[in-house]
Amino acid sequence: MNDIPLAMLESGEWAEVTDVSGNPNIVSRLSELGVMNGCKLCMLQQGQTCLLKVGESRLSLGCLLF
Amino acid sequence: MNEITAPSKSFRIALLGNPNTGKTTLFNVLTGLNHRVGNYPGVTVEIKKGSFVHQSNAIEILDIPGTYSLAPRSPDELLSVELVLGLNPLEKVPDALLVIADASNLERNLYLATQAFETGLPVILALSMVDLATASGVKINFNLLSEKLGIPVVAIHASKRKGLDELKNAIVALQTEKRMPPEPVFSKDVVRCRAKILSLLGDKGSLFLAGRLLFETDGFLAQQLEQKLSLSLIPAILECRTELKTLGINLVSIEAKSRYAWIRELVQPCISKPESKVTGFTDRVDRILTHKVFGMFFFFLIMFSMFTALFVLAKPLMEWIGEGKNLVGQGLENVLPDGMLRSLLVDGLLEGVGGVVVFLPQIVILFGFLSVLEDCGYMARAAFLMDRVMAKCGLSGKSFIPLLSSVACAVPGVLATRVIEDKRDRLATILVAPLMSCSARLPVYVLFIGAFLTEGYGWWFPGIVLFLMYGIGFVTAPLAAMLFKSTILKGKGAPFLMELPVYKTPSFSVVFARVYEASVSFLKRAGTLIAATMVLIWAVLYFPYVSSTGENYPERIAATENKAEQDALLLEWKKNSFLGRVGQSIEPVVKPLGWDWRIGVATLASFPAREVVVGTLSIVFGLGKDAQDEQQLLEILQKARWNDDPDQPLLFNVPSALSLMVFFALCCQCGSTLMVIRQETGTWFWPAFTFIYMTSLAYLAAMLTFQVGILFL
Ligand SMILES: Nc1nc2c(ncn2[C@@H]2O[C@H](COP(=O)(O)OP(=O)(O)OP(=O)(O)O)[C@@H](O)[C@H]2O)c(=O)[nH]1
Ligand SMILES: [Mg+2]
Repeated sequence: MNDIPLAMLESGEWAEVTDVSGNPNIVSRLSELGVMNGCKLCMLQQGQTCLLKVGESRLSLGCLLF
Repeated sequence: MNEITAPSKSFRIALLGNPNTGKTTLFNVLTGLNHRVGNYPGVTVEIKKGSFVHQSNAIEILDIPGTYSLAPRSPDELLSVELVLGLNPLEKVPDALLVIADASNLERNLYLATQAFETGLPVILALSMVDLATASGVKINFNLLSEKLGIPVVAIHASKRKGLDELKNAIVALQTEKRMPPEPVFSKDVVRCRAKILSLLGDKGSLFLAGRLLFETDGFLAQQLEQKLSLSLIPAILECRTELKTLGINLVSIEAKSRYAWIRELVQPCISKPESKVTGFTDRVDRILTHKVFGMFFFFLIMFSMFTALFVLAKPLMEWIGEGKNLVGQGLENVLPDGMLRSLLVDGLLEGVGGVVVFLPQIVILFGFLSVLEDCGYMARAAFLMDRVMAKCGLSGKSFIPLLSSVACAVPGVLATRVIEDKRDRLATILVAPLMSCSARLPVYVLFIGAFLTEGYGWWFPGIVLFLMYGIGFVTAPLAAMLFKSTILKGKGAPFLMELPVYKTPSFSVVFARVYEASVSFLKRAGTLIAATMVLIWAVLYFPYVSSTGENYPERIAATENKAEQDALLLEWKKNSFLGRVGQSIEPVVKPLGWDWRIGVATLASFPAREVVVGTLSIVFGLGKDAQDEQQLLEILQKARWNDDPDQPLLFNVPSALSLMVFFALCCQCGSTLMVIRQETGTWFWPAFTFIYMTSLAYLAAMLTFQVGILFL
């Protein structure tokens, strides 16, 4: 499968994370929350601010910033 | 808030856990205190203490802000982490940690627990939300988990008082028998480097601190630690980091990777989850409530219903209270002889206290609505929806929760900004939070809308006006934030990152507790403040009662029978009083707003706390009026004329009533808010800045409202 940026993921689609990059503070906080290479996530609501399901939690984040 | 201080020898235990896992719920049940609970991350932002006694052991318990990790990213998390690591200069390190983990999201919650295991403190693990986990088909073998971890594991449901005895027993047992938790496994290179740093740290260090120094290149704690460390340590740390980097280890992600791998292996045999990925209730509701279009529509609808209900629903209740007050008044007048006692009880106490009590229904409805929104899980959705809007103002959705909380009161609103990671974003949010219409503005709105914008309009009209008054804050606050963020507080903030909780049925006891507390403090605060201010205002309006030419006004009024002459004398007396003189000197300033000197002084008197204004208005306008008239303040205001002269036009019309409401909406008339801004920013500059910008803005906006209003209305 090809790598696509998070913002390209459609609502309802599942994907596996291959890379998290950017501000180290955010990257490490995301990894603490379980968002890291190899984890599976589902886009619940797509948009400039998106809603993701990661494991049992729902995370909202400013998508376009990544 | 009365915090019970336990004897110094008692065992101290801190409640450490992810945000929104039920720490405060447990704390309240254990201690009998009543701190705020809500279904969104970041409700608790301060350290709260309480205590309980179990089997004659005194236990002191600390409720602290929730945190995802012991590597803090925001001021509230820093507070918790400093406490747990013994870096807080004001608080002793606790004797043990009670880690609360959400059983419905166990692996994620155990992340923090693994960090707690390395602090060197004994740990008890309490699992909350077991009911939710069970409902979604998750089964956890608590005994096996406890066995594998080597520490007590207790399942609790605090609000149902389940598992509490077992938990208390475990806490008490901890005092004598110290079972230390296991250490999560890292790769041997990391372990070696960490051990090296630990040895350099000496006896003050813990495994966790050593790891922190190794992994954390930036962030709150690293800055904090580097200031406290001897310089000799830094080269050693840097050396270790380069060593690991050359081995191909990514320092940003190695910690999370290793911990999660360890957790997965540990938990797997203890937990069974249904494999199917059925989307639950929360996800289905979220499809609509977080939708770009429908979600915004519902958000608007919720706000609209809340603020119009404040008027529409409260009106009959207010009338009942008003009637009850009149009945009591008539009863007292029938039993008491005419004279000073009757006047004090009926005109003074009953009017004063009753004048406050009539606004109680609004407070109850406002806080009821807010606490239902907070406890059902909607607050975080509102933040999510508003992130797009807030981003345009240079802030993130995180700033929206403090703003929405400020609708109750700006003081907790300012405190709630502690969840905001970025310093400038946080400051900008603090500066604009007082622009949101708080509950103390509500009486002013209700009074003036009731007096000037109700009769002759449809029943729905006042509610909409009230909604629009709230709209002023909702529009002005983000705009002001945008201005600050593009000038004095320039800088790119942290991107929005927030966990959304599952929806829950709001708990009756949580909602009731919040409404009850708000009502009591409203009555208490308003009662005492109004009583004190009223006496003061009455005095400066009464003295001097002898004019410069030696005329004694009360005597002359008593001597004459002519009503018109009495009124003229009364007016002269008021103008000659201390307050009257001040008022007349400021009249040129307030005249462009459509106000006379009486409105001017009533407003001036309410600068320390705006809730007194209804009381001061009733004194300034009502003093000396015939007590038999049984007039409500509302009617007095409707009939008030310029200079109290029957030949002059009516003082209030729609433009001047609006200008007064706009002024109160935007003005900074609250000492407590300024104090809390001082506390949170650490300087007097920002409260002074807030006061000046808000008051100028209020003046200009009120003037504009009046001047434009008289052109059209
Ligand atoms: N179903 C269920 N709900 C719970 C349980 N414990 C707490 N809650 C609810 O979970 C929500 C969060 O509770 P709080 O006590 O405010 O959580 P907290 O950990 O103090 O949160 P922060 O202060 O934000 O870190 C509230 O709506 C509680 O009513 C539980 O065992 N089961
Ligand atoms: Mg709490």
